[in-house]
Amino acid sequence: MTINRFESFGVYLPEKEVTTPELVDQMGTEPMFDLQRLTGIKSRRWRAEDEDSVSLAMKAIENCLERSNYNAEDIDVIICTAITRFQNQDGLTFVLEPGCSNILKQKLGMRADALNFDITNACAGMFTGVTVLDQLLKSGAVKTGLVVSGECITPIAETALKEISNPIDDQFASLTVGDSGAAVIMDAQGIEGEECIDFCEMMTLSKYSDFCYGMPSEQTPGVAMYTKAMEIHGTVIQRLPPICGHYSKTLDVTGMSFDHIIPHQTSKRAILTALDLCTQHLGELPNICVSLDRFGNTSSTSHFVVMEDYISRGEFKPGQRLLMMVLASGIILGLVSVRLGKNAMGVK
Amino acid sequence: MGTIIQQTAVTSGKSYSLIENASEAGKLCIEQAGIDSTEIGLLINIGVNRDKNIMEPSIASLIQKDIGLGLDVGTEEIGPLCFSFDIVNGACGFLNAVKVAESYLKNGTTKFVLIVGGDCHPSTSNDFPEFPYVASGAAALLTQSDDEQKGFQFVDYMSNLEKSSKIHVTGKLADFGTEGRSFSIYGREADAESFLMELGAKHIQQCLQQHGANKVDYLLGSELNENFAAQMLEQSELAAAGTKASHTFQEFGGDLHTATPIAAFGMMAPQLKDNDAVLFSSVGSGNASACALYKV
Repeated sequence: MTINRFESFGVYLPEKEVTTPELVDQMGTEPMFDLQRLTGIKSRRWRAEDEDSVSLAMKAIENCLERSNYNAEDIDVIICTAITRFQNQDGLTFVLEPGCSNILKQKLGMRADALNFDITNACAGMFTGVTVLDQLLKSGAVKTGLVVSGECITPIAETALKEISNPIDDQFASLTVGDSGAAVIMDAQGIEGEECIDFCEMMTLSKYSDFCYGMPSEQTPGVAMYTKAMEIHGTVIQRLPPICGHYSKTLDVTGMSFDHIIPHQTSKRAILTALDLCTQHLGELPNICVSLDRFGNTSSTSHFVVMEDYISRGEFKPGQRLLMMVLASGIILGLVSVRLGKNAMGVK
Repeated sequence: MGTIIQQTAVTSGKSYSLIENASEAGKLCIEQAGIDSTEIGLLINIGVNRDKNIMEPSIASLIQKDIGLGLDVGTEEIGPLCFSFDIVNGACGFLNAVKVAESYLKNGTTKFVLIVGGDCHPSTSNDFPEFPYVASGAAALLTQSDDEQKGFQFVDYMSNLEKSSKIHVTGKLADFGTEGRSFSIYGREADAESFLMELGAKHIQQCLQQHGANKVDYLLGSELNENFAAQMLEQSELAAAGTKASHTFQEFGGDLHTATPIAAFGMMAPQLKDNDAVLFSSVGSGNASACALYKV
C-alpha cells in the first residue's frame, strides 16, 4: 500500500484586483442585497488581457516546480482540470481539442511517453484530478504526476455584469469569481501522519446535475453561469449531515481529528450554514479557513488558493491535518484529508 | 487480475445529442450485462464535443442522471454512491479512461466502471454538414477478471512533441454572438491524417516490441477516413502477420471519433475467441497516440 502525498504545489494569482464595489457600480440592476456583506468578498483577482487558461496554468506549474524536487521530465502524467478552456487567439476562444494538457506537456518539455489528459468536473476539477492521480499512484500505474488548473473564470462575471436584470438573478454567483492557477505534484513517497493524503471520498449526486450550468449565453456574446442557489441550499447542502455521519464512522474521524477545514469558497454565509449542519455528526470543528475576502471564489483552484494564503501568513504548520470539503456543479460533494510536509509548504 | 470489457453498447442514427446517445448506450450496456447498476462506482464520459457547449457541470454527471446512477443520498443512510467526470483528450479519451478505470478496479475502489462517449454537434442537430463525425453514443462496462492473462495487458501513450496539434475544435466567443451554444469550428490540417498515421504506426511497432507481443489478431484503430484502418495495418506491418482491422467507418458511415474503440470492440465481439489478441490504437488529441493490447 503506497502512501501518497502532495510533494509540492504552486498557486498563481494575476496582479489586477477588482473590488466588489467596482463590480457592483458597473451593473445596470442594483442587487437587492449587499453583495460584499453577503459573500464576504471584498476583491478578487482578474486576468490581464494577455492571460488565459494556459498561461495561468503554466505560471502555477512554474511556482510548483520551484518548490519541487522533481523536474518536468520526471513526471509520468499531467492532468489538466480547469472548467475554462480559454486561449487568447485574437479574442477569447475555447479550445476543446487539443486538450490543455497536450499544450502544457509540450511547453514543459515533459517526456513523450508521459501520459496526459484533461478532466472536466466543474469546481471539483482539481480534487477530481487529485483523486484520479491518487488512484493511479496506488495501483502503481505512475510514480509521480501533476494536476493543474488555469482557471480563467472571470468571463462569466463580465457576462453577468451585462445581463443581470433581476434582483434575484441566477447569474449573481458569477460575480463572486476570481481568476487563478493552481498546480500540485504528487508522488507515493508520503509518510503516515506527517505528509500524506489520508483519504479522497468523492461522489456525484446526479439528481441535481442541472442545478448549475456554465455555457455560452444566448443574450450577449460570451459565457455565462446560471446557478439555482436556493435549490442547492435547500437540498444538496442538507445532504451534508448524513454524508459527514457516514464518513465519520467509516473513516473514524470527528471535526477535531483535523487542524483546519478548507471549504469550497462560495460565500461566507453559505459556508457557515453548511458547516453548522456538519457539526451534527462531526461535533466541534477546528479552524475554518476562508480567503474569500481577497480572492473570491476561484472555482476549481479554491482550496489551493486558500492553502497558499494560509501558508504565506504562517497559519499552517507542517504535518497538520487539513480537511478539504469539495462542492461543485454535478452536484459533487467530496471530503479529502491531506497533511502537507515541509517541502510542499515551501519550508527549506 | 486483468481489467476486462464485460459489455459494450452503441447507439447511432436516432439522436444528435451526446447526452441522449450516451445515456441510451449506457442503459443498454448495463441491461445487456445483467449487472446490478448500484455496483458501478465510477462513470467517465470521454466525448470531446459537448451538447450546447456546456462547460459545467460535467457531461458525465448529466449522463449519470439520465442513466439513474447514484442519484442522491438518503437523508439518513448514504449510498449507493457513484462518482463521475469527463476525460477530454480527443480520440485517445477511451484508452486514457481505461488507464484510470484499471487503477480504480485494481485498487478495489469499485467493482464496475462505466465509460461512455461519442461526439455530436453542440447544436444537438444534424444541420451542420461540416461536423466531421457521425453522431453516436457508446458505452463500455469494465470490471476485473480473476485471470491475469485476460483483459488489458498494457495501455501505453506517446506524443510527438516536435509537432503541434493537427486537429482543432475551437470557438471564438465574439464571433458566435448569441449562438455560442450551437457552434464550434473544426479544423484539420492537410497533413493531419498522414502525420497521425505515421505516429500511430510507429507507436504500435514500438509497443509490440517493448512488451514482446508477437501475435495480434485484430486491430481496433482510429478511422479518420475510410481507408485509415487498412493503411494502418500496412504501415505498422501488422497486415503481413495476418492481423485483421475493424471497420467502423464503413459500418456507421463515417468517423465515430471518441466512440470508435468501443464500437469497434462491440462489432468484433461476436467473432472473438478465447486468447485472441486485440490491439487498440487511437491517434489524435493534438499529436498523441494511445496503444493497448487486450487478451480475450
